[in-house]
Amino acid sequence: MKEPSENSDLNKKFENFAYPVDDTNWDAISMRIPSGKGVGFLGEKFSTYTVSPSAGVWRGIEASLQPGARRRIAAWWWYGAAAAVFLFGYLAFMQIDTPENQMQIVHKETETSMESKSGVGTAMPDSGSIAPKNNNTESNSASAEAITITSTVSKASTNKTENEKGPIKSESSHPGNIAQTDHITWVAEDVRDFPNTEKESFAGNISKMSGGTDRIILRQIAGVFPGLHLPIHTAELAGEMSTLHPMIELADNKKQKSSPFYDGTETSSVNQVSILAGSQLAFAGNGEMDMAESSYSGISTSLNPSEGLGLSNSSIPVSVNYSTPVYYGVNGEIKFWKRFSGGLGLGYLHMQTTANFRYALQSEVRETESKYLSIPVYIKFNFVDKPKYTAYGTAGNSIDFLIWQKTTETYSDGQNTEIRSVNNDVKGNQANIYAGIGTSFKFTNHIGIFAEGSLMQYYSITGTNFYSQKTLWPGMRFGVLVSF
Amino acid sequence: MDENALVEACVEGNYRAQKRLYQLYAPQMMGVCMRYSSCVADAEDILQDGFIKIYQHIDSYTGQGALGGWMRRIMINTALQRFRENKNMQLVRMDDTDLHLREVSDDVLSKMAADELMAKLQQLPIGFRTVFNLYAIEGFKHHEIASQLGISVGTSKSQYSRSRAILREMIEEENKLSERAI
Repeated sequence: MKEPSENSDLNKKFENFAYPVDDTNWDAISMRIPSGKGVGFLGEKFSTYTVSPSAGVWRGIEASLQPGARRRIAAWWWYGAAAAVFLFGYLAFMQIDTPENQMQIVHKETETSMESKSGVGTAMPDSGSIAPKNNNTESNSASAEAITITSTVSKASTNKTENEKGPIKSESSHPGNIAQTDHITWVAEDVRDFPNTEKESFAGNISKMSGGTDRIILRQIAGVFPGLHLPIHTAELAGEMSTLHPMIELADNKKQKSSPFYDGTETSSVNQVSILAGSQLAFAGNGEMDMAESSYSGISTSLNPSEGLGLSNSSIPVSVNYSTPVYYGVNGEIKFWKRFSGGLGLGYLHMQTTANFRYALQSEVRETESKYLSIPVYIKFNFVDKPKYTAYGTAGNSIDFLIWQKTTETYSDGQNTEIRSVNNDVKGNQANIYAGIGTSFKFTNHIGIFAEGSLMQYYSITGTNFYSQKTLWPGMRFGVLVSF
Repeated sequence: MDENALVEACVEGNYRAQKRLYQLYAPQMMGVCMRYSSCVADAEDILQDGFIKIYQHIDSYTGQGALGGWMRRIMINTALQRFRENKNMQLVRMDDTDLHLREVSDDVLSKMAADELMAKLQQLPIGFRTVFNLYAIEGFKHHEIASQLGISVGTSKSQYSRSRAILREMIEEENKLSERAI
């Protein structure tokens, strides 16, 4: 066994030896310790303290980021909107450009006036070809076509020259449209050849002009439209109209009657004013708020931020539930041109979200309830336009003005629950563009119902707003319409 | 994807990565900003300026240390910069007698909830609040605070002492009101 050395005793002597140091030594040491990392005596208390900023902060930051990045996102919406408008316009054009629609449109709106000086010869078809055309024009009873001619148009003259056509003026067609000029001339002569009884039927449309000539306004003329492509280029060919018109109408009738929308009535053509009172429901659902968006799959596939970077104490909402936004309103609508209508509304919009937050020691449920005064402006195109039934596409813009908001925060740590209302995160006004397809049905001439599916894209006009977290909403509108 | 990948995407100017970074850290940073502000609006201003700086200088983050800590330092510096730029926020050196004020004890402060303490901190004058934050929460030394704020070490100490005294007064006042209510 080894004997303890003599030094062991010496070590025992110094075992409890302490050398006093003053604060200057510590100051020198502490200056070398990295500081400012939340290591103060209250640092730990605030290490888990989090506050959710309003959505407006990100917008401010976003504005200072490289504009290219933001534009890439925004540009898609513009491209999409442009494509939708183009598609809508194309479909509308195709719808209008069909012969049957041209006939209807011509009858509705186009007003062509023609003035001819006394003694000027015009091209006329022979009398034999006029009679069946007369029948044809009568069939278009809903026409709103108006043509003004003098009552002193000369008798038929088949010798047509450019000079002869000179005095004839058509307001609704481009110059040199021979087909139209011929047709007008033909109709003018047609009237002159009416039997007395039929002429009397136009009595209400004949007025005395200041120049001593009679003005005849015909409201039953078809085909005076540049886009109609009637194959009439000369006076001789004009006679073919006698057979062409009935053929077109037969085809129209056949097509119309075979349509599933045919209800035994002609296409609605009168301008009308409607009031639509109804409600709109946007389809609610679960979502992630702005703070928890995880659309960037390349960074994190988890919706739960606590799983992404180990931030178990984050206040990022774990889930957000949107209650169904409800809109009640009244719209005034006027059919202003052909199948197009425009509308302006006033409504009340109620929206609500419930966001769940999870902290280290407690959970929070934040309910935000907002009420808006909503003003929609829109246009509508009836691609099926019957007196009792319409099917339409619509697009517009709506601005929602915030009139009231309440935010309630409920904290719970499993044992205690604390409820409080806060006003520090007031949402702003908001706006949306929307497009939809809908249908309406009238029970009587004045009362009907409508339903419409729509898609709303919200955008911010005053910083933060309710929809800043979820911008694209499908929805449905329905209600009652009253027409005058 | 981990933090490094997120940072790399931000360095490349990836918009979604920038937004993701904000979503992950904004609440935490807002908590920091709130301590240097008297209201939410001021805190959000600091937060916004701070994040803009973060995006501008994120390429200088080396990956050493937590990203959250690096971002927090930027937020604090942003708050202090606003403090320095505001001429109405100059600190006033207290008398030496202030060092003997009746200060609130560490125990009392430690037992208070963060929300409660935050509410009281926001009532402090900005100079007191800033020094208290830097010393008691961030863990800076007085000489560091003095350097950051451009004041003397003595002023920093007196501001801290005074802030603790005010906190004590607030707590006592609150206790009195509670007793009266009972």
